[in-house]
Amino acid sequence: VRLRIAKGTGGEFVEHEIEVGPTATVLDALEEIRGSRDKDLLYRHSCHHGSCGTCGALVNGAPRLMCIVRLAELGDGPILLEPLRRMARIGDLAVSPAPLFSAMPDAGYLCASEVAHRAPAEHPLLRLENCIECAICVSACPVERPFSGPAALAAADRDREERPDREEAALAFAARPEGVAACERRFECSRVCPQSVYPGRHIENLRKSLAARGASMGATKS
Amino acid sequence: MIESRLLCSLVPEAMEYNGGIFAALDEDDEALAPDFIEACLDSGIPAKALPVSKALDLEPGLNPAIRAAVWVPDGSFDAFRVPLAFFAAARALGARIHAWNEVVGFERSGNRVIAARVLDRSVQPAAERRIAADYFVSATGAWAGIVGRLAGVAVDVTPAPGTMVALRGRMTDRVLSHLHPAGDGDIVVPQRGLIIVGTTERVTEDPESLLPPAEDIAFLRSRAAALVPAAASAEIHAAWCAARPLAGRAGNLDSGRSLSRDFVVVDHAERDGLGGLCTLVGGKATVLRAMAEKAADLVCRELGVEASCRSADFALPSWRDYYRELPSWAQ
Repeated sequence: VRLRIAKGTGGEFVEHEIEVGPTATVLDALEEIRGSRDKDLLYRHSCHHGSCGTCGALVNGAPRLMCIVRLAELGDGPILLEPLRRMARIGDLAVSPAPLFSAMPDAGYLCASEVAHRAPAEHPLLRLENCIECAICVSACPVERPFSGPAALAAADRDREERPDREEAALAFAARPEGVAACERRFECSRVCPQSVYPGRHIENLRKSLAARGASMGATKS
Repeated sequence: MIESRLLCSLVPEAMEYNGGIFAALDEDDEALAPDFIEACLDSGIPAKALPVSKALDLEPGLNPAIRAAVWVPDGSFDAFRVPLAFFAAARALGARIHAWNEVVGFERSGNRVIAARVLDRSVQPAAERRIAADYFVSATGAWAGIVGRLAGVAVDVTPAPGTMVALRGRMTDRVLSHLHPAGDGDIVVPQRGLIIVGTTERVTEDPESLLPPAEDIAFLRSRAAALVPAAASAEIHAAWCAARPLAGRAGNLDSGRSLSRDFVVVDHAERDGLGGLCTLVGGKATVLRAMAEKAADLVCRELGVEASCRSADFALPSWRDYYRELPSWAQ
């Protein structure tokens, strides 16, 4: 397989051709290249199973987690690898996700899950949130004006779903100019999410709640 | 188990602590149950026999042919976010964390390490620089032997790769294990919408760039399917391989299992006559806080600080805080 990989922080690329097994992923290929040819190649990775959210990159132009994309599904041509958009680039494919996390609301992460009803109320089953905060949705989002982004707004909506006492904080977060009003309803976020979180749906939930709140306030004023 | 419980209070947002079930699939394994429960109780683990019907009620995905079940406190955690929460706490308390800096050498003054030379890859092009410190702790896992050699000391660590397979579908909410003498492919761990099947063990010299052997993947799926039949047809989400850092040296390539998962803090002043450096060897993720406590105790003794470790006393900040701050070079 041939790979064309962004190098440095300018517009340079480097090409590698390597032998890989039939089930190898894009990340496996990078590991092979770093181990045998280019020990300076920069990319982020940790869990290798789509859980830590660190190995996002543009694969043939589309933001994806490299650890769960098999090379076999990408065809014969050279595979183009570039860093995620909208993140702070370190070098090669490595980025800092600081822009994503600095936009996040001050919300909890672990939530009692949808399987909670199967356990006694005094000991609900726990399940980590589906969102792994990988920035794939943020990278895909076409909005160019100041925008909190799909991951942050989805987190705010999930937070109020699980903790009704935080409804006001979540809606205040969503009501800022860079909140739901900045979303252009292109839904690229939902199309690319590797965890099927559907951030676009969460943004619409917030939009409807804010609209209902506005209508309610209007009725009160009149 | 004490450390696992502690992590639940320190980093609750990264834990799925829902309990676990050991299940016996044949008569031999069923016969192990009383001794297994007794051994757990002797170790302070409140295990209890679980009627098969109750086990199937709790976990409908379990193989209905199981012959015995034992409940234990158990859970899974996000192995990336737990250490990030510790990093976030350390930084809030004044630590500076130099990510993307690879140690490429050490400087000595007499019989003491006084500085590390690092290759800083957070700048382009990467640049070598020097970090001086009063004391160095090498907490480098399976790379401890390689880093030790940079300082001129031998560190007995055996990188022991194991394969893991993630299957799509959350087929259990509790950790499921084979009630069987410890061996390969004996555990199924839920995480988000997946189950993760572990693991195998072999030993290697080089912990870099490991790929999962195909035979491991097929083996692990079959072992998982014996516990959870739906695993036989579940789609493979990912398969990977990573090296445990076993303390000691394995005599041959198949003897990794004979090495302990315990950890030790090697004081190189005491063992090698080289001051200013210790190495954490062995251990595993669930005891990361205890490993740090032992190392910190040694550093305090070295520096003449009289204080007890307080890392068990505080809930940690969110792991998100680690990334929330834009690094200086990106501002």
